[in-house]
Amino acid sequence: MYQLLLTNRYLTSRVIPLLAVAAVALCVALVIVVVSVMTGFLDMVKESGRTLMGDVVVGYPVAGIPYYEDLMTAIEAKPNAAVATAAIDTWGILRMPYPDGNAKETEAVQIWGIEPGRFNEVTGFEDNLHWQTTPEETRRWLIQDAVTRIAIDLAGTLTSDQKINILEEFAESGTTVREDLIAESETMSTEEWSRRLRTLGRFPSILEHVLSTEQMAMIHAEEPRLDDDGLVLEDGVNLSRGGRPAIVPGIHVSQGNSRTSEGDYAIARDGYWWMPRYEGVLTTIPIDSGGGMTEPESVILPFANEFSSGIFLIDEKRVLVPLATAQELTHLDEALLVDEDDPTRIIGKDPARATMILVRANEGTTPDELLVEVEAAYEDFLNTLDRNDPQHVPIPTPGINPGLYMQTWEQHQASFIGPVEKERELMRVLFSIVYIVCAALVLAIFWSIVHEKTRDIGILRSIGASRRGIIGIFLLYGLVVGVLGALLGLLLGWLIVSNINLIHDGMGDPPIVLGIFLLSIGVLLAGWSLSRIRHERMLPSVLGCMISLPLLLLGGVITWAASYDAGFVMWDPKVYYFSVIPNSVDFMSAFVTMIGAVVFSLLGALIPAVKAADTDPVDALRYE
Amino acid sequence: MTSTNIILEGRDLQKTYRLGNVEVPVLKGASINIKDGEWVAVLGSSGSGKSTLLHLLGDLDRPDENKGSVHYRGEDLKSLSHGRRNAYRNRDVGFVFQFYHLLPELTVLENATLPGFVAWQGSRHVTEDGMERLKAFGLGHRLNHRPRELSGGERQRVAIARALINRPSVLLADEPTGNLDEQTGEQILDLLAAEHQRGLAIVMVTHDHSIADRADRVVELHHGVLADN
Repeated sequence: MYQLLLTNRYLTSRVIPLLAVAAVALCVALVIVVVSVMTGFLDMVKESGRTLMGDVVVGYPVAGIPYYEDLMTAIEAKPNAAVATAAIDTWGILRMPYPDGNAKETEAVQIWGIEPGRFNEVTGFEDNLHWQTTPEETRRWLIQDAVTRIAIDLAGTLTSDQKINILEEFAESGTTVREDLIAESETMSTEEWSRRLRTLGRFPSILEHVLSTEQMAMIHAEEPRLDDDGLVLEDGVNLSRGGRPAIVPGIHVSQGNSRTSEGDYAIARDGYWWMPRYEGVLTTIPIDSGGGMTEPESVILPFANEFSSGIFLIDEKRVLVPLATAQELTHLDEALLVDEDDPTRIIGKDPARATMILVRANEGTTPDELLVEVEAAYEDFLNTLDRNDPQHVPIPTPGINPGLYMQTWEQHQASFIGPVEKERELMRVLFSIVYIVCAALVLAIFWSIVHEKTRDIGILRSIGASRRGIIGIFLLYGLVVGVLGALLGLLLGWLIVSNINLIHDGMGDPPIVLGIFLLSIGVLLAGWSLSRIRHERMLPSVLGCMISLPLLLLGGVITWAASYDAGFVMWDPKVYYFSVIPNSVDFMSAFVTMIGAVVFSLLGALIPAVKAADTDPVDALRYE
Repeated sequence: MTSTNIILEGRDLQKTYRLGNVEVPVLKGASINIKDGEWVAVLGSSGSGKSTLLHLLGDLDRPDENKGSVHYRGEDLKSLSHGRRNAYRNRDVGFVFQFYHLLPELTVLENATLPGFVAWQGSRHVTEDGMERLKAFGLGHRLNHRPRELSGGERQRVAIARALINRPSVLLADEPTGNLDEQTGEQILDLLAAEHQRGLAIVMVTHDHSIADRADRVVELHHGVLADN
């Protein structure tokens, strides 16, 4: 009871214990931030991996699984399998539309051929499509594209008034006479008019001014994405654009996209390099049945949309195309088998193949449970096919073809997930050292408090306080410091973690206002401190100088960085393969951390407490 | 069980301090009897061992191994448990020091009632008791002040209030006026006299004859032994 009173008074009337609380809080916040970010990172990697994978994957790389549709039927017949989809996984070269001119750049890409509707059902990849609507800044470019494509048709519909208006737009102001323009307009061919229109296409406002409503409608009919904002998303899901098979690359495949400090994406040159305006050329080298190379295959594909999975390694490499396109590119499509001696004689049919089957589990079924069913379904699939039928091609069989795999998404992504899991554990262990720091700090601070309070301890003993009671004071004190520190640390950690992207972006692009603010505070403080240096008490001016120094430094660095665009980017998405820093506190770990901090604070307080209890009251009271 | 009206007794007390390699005997067999309600002054010069005697009587310190004993109401303190000895310091005796020894972080009222809280008594009872006593000591307007805001005399009155809060039988006072001017010292002695009137036994050590004269009986500590004056 008196322990509570004394703990309360010792805590509120001195600065030293507040330092102990601050030290504990900093330790706790440090661990919470690190573990939360690592845990969030791990969850994001896992979640992203799942988004792109479904729950279970059956695969046979390169050669592919024939009769995969039968396999999908066998899998979907299982009670806990919701839906299965076939896919092709291969590598290729994508010729990008940039830069302007003929020498285009290329990117090495991982090609995934997918069944648009089913892939979406298995992976929900609709949500990962980056362009949910047509971005505003691309409108003028879309109009220009449409005008360019239909310029000849448009030129044919121009009235003579419109022609004169167009010539006026091109003429330097006030230098021409209307009669001259009329004469000039009558001499120009349709091709010349279409060229003029193509030039005008760059200036949508002039275009709208010159052309009639009907003519504008022609332009909009040519580019439906101008009026239908959701079309780009629809195109992405269906992997088609204007009725043609299309390609959906990861957001980092194109150099035209760059991450802004807000964590969003900016398109280079104000929307000019928006991929869904363009077409790309996808090239692969198919592998023949003997494992050798054949002639490369190429296909021109319009870009339909772009996806961001949250895993940088995937977003910078993977492109999605329709399954049929990928099968053609890899020669895994259905083909006729001909007699080697007489190529005109058809001896059978080589079925289409898929290198992967992705399966999604029903609600409430774990991937591991589903895997068992999928393995059973594969057995069923093997059994239903008549092996003795000469028409049938061999099917990869477990135990015979080592390349055949059946895995849960976690197993499949183990190369991503494993290291992150290990890194988190490593961090947790390494940062546990701060507990010892915590205990050492509390020990040092409490030791000095006990030393300072020796007389109080003597007084308490003289009025009948027991040794246990004295230990109780300092243990209670340690407990309060630990609990307060842990709670403050939780608050601080939570504040840092939930604003971590803001903080990080601020570091990458520091606000000059903050720099100037810190600089001016620093200058004011330094001035005040220096002006007081001749006063009697030196501590305030020395303290002022010591505080103003880091303020000036920090303010200077921020101002310098802001004025020279030299921000400090710590979590470069090219190094950390997630584009946003995880920002949710892992409360389970935070709780464990807080308990640890309290326990170690108590341990740190124990030694000074026992020392206090051992104080000889006579010695303690002897001197004033 | 000796005489019933002897409340506190020191028998042949010996105490030696070590200063480096030198053993300094302070008490060389001091014996003292305090009767119930008696005011005894122990007179001695500086360094004569007066304070040590008081510490031994109050169980703040112990005599040398097997060299004397302290008896309270006939019971040898050595034979008591730790808990009982803590209770002895808490309830049966009260200490007043020359330098007041108040806790600087606590208020006047909290200082005065601290022994009550150490004894786990009901907080309201103790607080009311303390307030009443402080008011009686003329400190009613100072209840929520810190010790540093008080004068020396006021501080000593708080210390006396603290020593009396658990209604002990014996008050052990170590030069209670030693740090005060004469007039304030007189006031403190008047206060002690008043408590003595109500039946409190007091052992007061001092080097000042005029102060010692206020007591019922004066014993002199000389060369580590006590002699009736």
